[in-house]
Amino acid sequence: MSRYLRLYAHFLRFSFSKAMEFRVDFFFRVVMDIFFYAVQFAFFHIIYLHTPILAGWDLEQMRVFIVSYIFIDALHMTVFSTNCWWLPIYINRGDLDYYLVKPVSTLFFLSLKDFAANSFLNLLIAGSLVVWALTNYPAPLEPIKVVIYLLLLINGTFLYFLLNLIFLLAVFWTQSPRGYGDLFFSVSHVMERPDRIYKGVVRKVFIFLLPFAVMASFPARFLMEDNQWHLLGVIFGVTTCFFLLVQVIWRLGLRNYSSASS
Amino acid sequence: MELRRTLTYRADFWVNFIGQTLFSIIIAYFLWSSIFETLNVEVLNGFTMERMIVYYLLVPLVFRIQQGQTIGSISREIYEGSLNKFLLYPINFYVFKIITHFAGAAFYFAQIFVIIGLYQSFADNVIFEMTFLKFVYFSIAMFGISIAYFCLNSLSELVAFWADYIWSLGVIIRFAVSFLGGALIPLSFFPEWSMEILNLTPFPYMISFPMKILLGEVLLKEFLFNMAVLTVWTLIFLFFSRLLWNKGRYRYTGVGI
Repeated sequence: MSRYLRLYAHFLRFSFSKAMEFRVDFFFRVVMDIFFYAVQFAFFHIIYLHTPILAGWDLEQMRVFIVSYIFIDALHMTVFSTNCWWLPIYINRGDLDYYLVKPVSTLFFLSLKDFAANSFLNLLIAGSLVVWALTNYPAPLEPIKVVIYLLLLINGTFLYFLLNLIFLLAVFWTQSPRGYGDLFFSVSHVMERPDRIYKGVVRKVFIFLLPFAVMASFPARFLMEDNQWHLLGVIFGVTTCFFLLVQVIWRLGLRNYSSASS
Repeated sequence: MELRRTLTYRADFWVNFIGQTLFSIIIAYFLWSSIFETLNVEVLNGFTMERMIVYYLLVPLVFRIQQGQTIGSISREIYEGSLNKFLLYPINFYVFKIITHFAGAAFYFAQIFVIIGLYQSFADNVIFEMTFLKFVYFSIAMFGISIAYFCLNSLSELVAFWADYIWSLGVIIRFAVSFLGGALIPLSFFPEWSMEILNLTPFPYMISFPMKILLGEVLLKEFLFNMAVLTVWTLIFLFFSRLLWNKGRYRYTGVGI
């Protein structure tokens, strides 16, 4: 374990020094994410000009939901997204060999080696937005629930990453340069809407098969609504299943990996 | 060549295309159903539920036509040093890039008519007809919008002469056009004060305008007015783009990183 922590510390050091090489991009990334956050707030504010309630939530409650998925997006962008960008390229080009021979878990290495230091400032901004939304929430929030909510957001990020991996690992079989990364990007917008809008079979799909509803919406519900402890079971059950599924797909994919580039 | 490149991985291409369209519709359907149900109305800001679904069916396709195929390529060529070959070709760099841009756009342009055809064949309650006049208006408008977007986007791409890596600047422009053009939410839902400001910008002409043509809300006079505004914006973008190109290319070393 300590070996992996030491290795991650090296990843961090290297990533920060690399980010400093592209200072203008660093600045634009901050602007880009601030603009993205502003669009998210504006989108729901416009909707609330026409309806007082959406999926059972008023505007103050919706703000907590918005900052929840913004935080998940920022954490994913910082820790995982650069790695997710490169992973299918390594597989497609046959560059995975170099990582397979390293004396650490290949999936660990490839998932965490690039820490997006230029998104780190955005993570701080997203964190501040969470603090702002929670402190301005009109009803009292139980401290224990706040702590669990924050842990659930981290879990939501991990689940988001696992699902992203599943879409990307398809590259082992399709041999295309991006896997189904673009499709994942389109599906991931499901996370940006409250889970209660989805009904029937589609709702079950977005909870159990493509669990985007579980990532931000469930933590926000757990925090703001009474008697939602059962959601914890669903969240951890789904996360565990997807963690195991990724391991299986990764192993099957490696068996299919020919090392030749395409 | 662009078509061949786009279709190199056919299965990927179709899975992505169908998946993106399907999920865009599903999300929009459930979001707006929830709002219509809560308010217990059949029409909201001129949109029925059917009209809303058609809007969200077509808007990503309009967005893709506008985006074409060249996003990120100019800055990458400057960054990697592969711009050299364009400086030697006996063809104007802008003309070459616009043609490439159109090649990608043309493919998405064909796609939208496949989708419209499928919609008109299978929908129970067809809420708009695709007439020849609409086809002409839409084609001319999308041609103009594609050029306008290319020129706007080139402003961000050419910054690569001064800064090494400017991917996020292009994404900012995409966000802006998408949200302020009406791709995320129809502009008729925006507050009136914001529309007064937005109408002074190019964004409503880049998405909302072609959507209005498709849904049958544009008369000749309005069409000509919108095209004139779009042309003025395109000339402004082109002027600044040429300015950046003329200044930037003297900084270009051709070495690449």
